[in-house]
Amino acid sequence: MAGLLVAFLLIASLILVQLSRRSQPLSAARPLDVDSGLPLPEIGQASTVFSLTALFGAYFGVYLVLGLPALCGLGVGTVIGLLMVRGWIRKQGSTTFEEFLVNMLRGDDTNASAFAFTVSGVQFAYAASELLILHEVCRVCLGIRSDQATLVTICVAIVGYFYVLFGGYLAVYRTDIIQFVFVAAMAISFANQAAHQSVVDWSRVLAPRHGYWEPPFGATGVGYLRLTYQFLVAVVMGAGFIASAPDAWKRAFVVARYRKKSLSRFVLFVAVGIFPFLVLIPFAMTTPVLPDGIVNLRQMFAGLLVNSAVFIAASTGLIASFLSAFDSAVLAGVHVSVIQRRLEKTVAIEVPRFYWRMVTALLTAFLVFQVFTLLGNPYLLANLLLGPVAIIAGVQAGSAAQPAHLRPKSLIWVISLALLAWFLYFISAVNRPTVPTTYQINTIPFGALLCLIVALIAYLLKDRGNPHAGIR
Amino acid sequence: MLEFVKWVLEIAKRIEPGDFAKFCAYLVAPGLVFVAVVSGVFGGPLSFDMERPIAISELRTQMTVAGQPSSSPGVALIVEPIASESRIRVESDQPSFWTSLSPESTIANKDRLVIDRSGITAKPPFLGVPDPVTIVIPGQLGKEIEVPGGTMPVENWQLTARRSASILSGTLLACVFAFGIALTTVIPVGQGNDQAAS
Repeated sequence: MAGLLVAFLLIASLILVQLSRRSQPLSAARPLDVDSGLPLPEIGQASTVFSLTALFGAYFGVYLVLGLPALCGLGVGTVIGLLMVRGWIRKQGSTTFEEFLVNMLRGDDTNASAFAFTVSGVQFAYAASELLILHEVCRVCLGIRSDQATLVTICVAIVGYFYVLFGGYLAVYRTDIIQFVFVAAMAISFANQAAHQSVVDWSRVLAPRHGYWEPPFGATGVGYLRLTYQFLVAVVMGAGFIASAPDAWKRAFVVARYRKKSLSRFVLFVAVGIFPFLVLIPFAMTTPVLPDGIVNLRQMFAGLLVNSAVFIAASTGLIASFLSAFDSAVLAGVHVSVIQRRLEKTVAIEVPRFYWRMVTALLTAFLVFQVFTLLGNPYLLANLLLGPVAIIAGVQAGSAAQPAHLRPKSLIWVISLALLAWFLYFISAVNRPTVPTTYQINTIPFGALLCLIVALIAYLLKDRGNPHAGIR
Repeated sequence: MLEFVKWVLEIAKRIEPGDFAKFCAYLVAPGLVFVAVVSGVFGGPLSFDMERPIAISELRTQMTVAGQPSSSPGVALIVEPIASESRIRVESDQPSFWTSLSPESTIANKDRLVIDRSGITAKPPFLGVPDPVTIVIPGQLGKEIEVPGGTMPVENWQLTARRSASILSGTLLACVFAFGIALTTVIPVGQGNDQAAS
């Protein structure tokens, strides 16, 4: 039954993509210049954020270890991130998303190239990280044999790749609706299971543990200071993920520019963006206590294999959630790269560039997946990506989404030095754990600090003498 | 196989130079990734063989009537009637096994099911036995299984829930469906039919 439903989810989405392609084929000249007619961007935002929470794992891990205050911080940060992106869009005044990206990257060529390369690279690596985690989810939570889990992961990734290739944004947005239905079904089944469990230990759900995200300067006691510190770190993290994700920019752009009653739609957009955080609460209630140290995923998700209905809902929901995040990451990375190339050399027919970048995205994600599979810890890449994500978010926040308008050739140095600092910190703090450990989330406060420092540097380096700065 | 290569070359000849990027994006790149995984370029030599000839389940604990669990290592094998040969390492001081084979069948297959102190060698299918055969061996299971031409991790041969394996069937079906659509999108079918008609 689970296999049948997975096939239904994937094939129904493929048929939907084909119908979309017939009704609105990709333009040969500008295949990704599609803004109007994209249905319900809020839905995809919810699926993508859910992938960050449950599948990507960072938010879920933060919640299990640090409790509700940190989860609230992540939710507030997501809202702040969405409002920040909306502010950039309104300030820039672009009429299409492509114009928004062009204006973002127009300015100093070296800065633009460094930024676009970093954003695309992070998106492709993020897609690879999703592959690694889906593989682990299939193996541990769904009980699929390791070699078969690899095949399942790659097959789902190829199907997701074809969605993007066949239909671009329209395909991704339409399939997001189907995927959202499956993700919602999974959330309901988890909530139902939580409701039937005997007693919920609320102290575990609410209270942070010691040894994680301790405030600096020795202020480690329990109290408002500690909770406030953890809340603020989570706010920076939540806002940073949105500020660094081109997919979130696109969705925010569509809602802000192409919807009547833009404000009310944006409020709905934000509300749906918070939905995944609510899903985490029942999800966490069905999970056994996570001990400090090595994370035993099999023990954590043992409940999924017990109940057939929950198993079916979980398998389809997790694959749907993966597809949404994977497609969005691939498409966003490809789009930024296409725009960067356009600024270097404009051509009348851009579709071959789209195809070549899709090939690059797929092969990069696959090779990175294979390399990190050998390293053993499926969450290592996701953890490593926190640094680059923080740097992109910092650049965006400090330059008000005008990274090419920093002082000439300065951004490449900012990114390089920040990456170096991150990797040095990561090696000293985490080294290279071969299995996932709860202490990996202790790298997040440094990521938040890095984001704030980069934002400050970007703000100071902003080329205020540039007459084009801030306007299109 | 030769016919298939000829067919691929024929298709490649028909691709317009301007459509090369499309051809690579629709068929070459995803095809390469798929073939790399299925053929086991990055994994074991039998990645394509999704149904293993033997399913392994490690036994760990013995329970007494008094309700006292004690550590008791062992291995349960379910051997499918598929032509294959493999050696499973099971270390035991007193090698023996229980089997679902009858005493007569066990004697008839003594060359196909051989046990010693370091493990058991199985060469199914067994003579006169069309069904899967269950074997239980006391002892400590090793990390790898020896197959002709190499070794494979035991993890990849472990017994899994059938509903879990069904997810693989579902995704493979969808993947093949997607490749079918890609093929019809890229290959200029009309041109080929015209040539055939003329």
